[in-house]
Amino acid sequence: MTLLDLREGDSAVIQSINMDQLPKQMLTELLELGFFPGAEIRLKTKSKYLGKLICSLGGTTIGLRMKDGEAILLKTK
Amino acid sequence: MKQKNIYLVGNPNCGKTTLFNQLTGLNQKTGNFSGVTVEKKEGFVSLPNLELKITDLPGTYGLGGIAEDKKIAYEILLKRKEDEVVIYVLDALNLERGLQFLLQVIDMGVPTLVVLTMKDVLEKKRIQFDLNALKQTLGLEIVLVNAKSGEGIPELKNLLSNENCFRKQKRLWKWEPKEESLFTKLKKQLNIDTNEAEFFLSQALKYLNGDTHLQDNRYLNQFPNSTKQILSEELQSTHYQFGYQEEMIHRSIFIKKIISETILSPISKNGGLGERLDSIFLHPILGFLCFFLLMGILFQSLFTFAEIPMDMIEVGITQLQGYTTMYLPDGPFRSLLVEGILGGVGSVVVFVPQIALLFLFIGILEESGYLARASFLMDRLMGKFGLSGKSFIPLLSSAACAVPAILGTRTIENKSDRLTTIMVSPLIMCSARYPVYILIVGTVFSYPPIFGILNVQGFVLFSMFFLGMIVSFAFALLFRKTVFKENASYFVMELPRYNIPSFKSLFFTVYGKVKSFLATAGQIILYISVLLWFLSHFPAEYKDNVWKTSPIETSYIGRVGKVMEPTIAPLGFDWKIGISILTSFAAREVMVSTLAVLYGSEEEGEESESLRETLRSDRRSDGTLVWTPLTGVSLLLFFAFASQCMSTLAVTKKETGSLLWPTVQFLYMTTLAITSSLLVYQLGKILGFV
Repeated sequence: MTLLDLREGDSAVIQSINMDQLPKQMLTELLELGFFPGAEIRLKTKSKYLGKLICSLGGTTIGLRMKDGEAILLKTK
Repeated sequence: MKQKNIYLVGNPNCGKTTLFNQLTGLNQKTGNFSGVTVEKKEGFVSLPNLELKITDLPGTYGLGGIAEDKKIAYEILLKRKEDEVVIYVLDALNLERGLQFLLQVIDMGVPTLVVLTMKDVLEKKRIQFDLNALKQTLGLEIVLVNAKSGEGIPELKNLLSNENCFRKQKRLWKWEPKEESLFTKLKKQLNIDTNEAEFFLSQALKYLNGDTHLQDNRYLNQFPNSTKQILSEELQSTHYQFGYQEEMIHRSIFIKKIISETILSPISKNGGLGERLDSIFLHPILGFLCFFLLMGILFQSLFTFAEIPMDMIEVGITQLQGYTTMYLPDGPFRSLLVEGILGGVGSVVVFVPQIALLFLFIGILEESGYLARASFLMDRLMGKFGLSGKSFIPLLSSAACAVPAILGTRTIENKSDRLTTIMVSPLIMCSARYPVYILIVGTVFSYPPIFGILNVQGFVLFSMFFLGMIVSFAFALLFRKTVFKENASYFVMELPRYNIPSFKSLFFTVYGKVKSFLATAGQIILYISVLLWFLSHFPAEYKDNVWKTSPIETSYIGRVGKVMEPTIAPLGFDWKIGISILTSFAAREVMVSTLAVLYGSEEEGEESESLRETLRSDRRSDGTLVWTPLTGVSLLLFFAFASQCMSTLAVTKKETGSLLWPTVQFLYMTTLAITSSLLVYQLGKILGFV
């Protein structure tokens, strides 16, 4: 399951980040924003029109592009 | 008196800048970090026995930052002197991520004092917070403040006068047992006992382990070859996981423990005003409506509010010129002072109200948390042009002035995105183009309103704005597909909490920015104005005890204008327009005053009807009118695209750190200007327009 498959309002735990799918510079940025294995993430909003995901993790709200959400793999509960 | 250097460190949006402004007030200056192009803000605080020099480092999330401003924060901490210390600003409502970076700072062995902000929100939300537990676990001094109201600042100053308030702390978190035991073994074997050395050891191990986030071998190279040998042998014999990601994971385990001990009542995660606001501001329809409404208000007020102080400055400068003319004897010195220096300085100072207002608005949008939402909203559109939402705000501020816009690109992590944004920003219609456009449009398009309501001149101005935007986006795509192909654009951004901005803090920020604008742009324009003055008044001769300067037609610049007339005739320009284009390479608005001088008009302004009348009746040697609508359009296009701003080129050089990019910028823009003017004028002539 990826972040893109998560339903609005649901939470999950990050399993890993698919490094090949994302630009290298973005990986460090994601990591520092709290995207690392074991972190709990909640999908707040999925906006098709804007092509965006809004999620909250580590107490902050982060926005990212939908297609990048596919690179964030989640643990299924 | 003793001086102490303090760095203010913390995450973005943690209240760091507000705290900086509270502590230092007007006692601050803006400059650059040496060798790099990142703005440096320093402030001074005088305590009874000590003077503090506080440097506000750019907000960052960790030590792996890629953006220019984030990288510098790390470099400074790494290369700090022994007695330099850190005030770490920690947002009480965002402990998890704030503590991540704080633990990194501690690991580097920096003596640290923690300032916990958002006292007011903690109290308002009735969050039970155990400050003593946090102090004990971290082993650091912690002061709770409300940076906005200044509550807790006197206590903080009091504490700062005590030398021992900054403390070093050993690494608080642990690697996995296997890695940790290797680490302990190596420390003993290599006699590593300071935090700094331990930090270098862990960086070297991460590098040797092939960490994707750390590809910097300078830590490893600090160690002698024998040590390097030991380290690589250890890592080759067994599989270890030393990496930035593992480090983050293990810190976060420790942080979860701290938080459970510190925050005794849970912070509610659902609902709240913030989410309701987001459902409007980030709505695919309502969001854009709100955005355009906000921008509409912004630009309207930018022009209406700024007009009054701008007029006052103009009147002031004119009066000053009047007094100087009255009290000084006629001669080149008076002329230099009045026309060169005062005129030149005036042309910069007059933009101060607009620039100040722009910075104020952007400051409000930024501090309130809206700016991140606007970038978020615009990312999809910008993505179509190869950029990301982060380029949007700089491009938008170009509508006032490209100089602050280019400075604002520092927040763009992606290098190719940043360079592209810098290159195309000056194509957006800036405020310096308005006087020129108003003069041209007013001269050649004096038609009655269409359908009695639609003002033709207003329509042309709006079209010019639109044209600038379209062309800059098109060139962004072109640059992104050709020169800056690498680093595909990406977008990930924190949407910070909504916040009511602190106006006191905003005032200090705007003050600092305006001061630095005057110092940099002002200087360049002053030099150029003096040079232009010389070229347009000389050769001069000294006869009968008086200096006789040349009228502009026969001055150096006039001669150049006449020589170049044949080359610019295909664009529809005569020598007078040619000269005004030459002088406007210093700054676009100089064009209006040059034309006023050339046509000997009494009134100078772009709104001046007498200047427009003179222009309209001007004829070429063959008897045809010079200022036809076709010439007007050609001239408008020229000014829309030509790179006619010394300050922009200077700031491009500063920000890109090379002469190449300003040169490319100048050449592509000017080529575009000449080509489009030529095409339009020649096509227009063929089609029978005059």
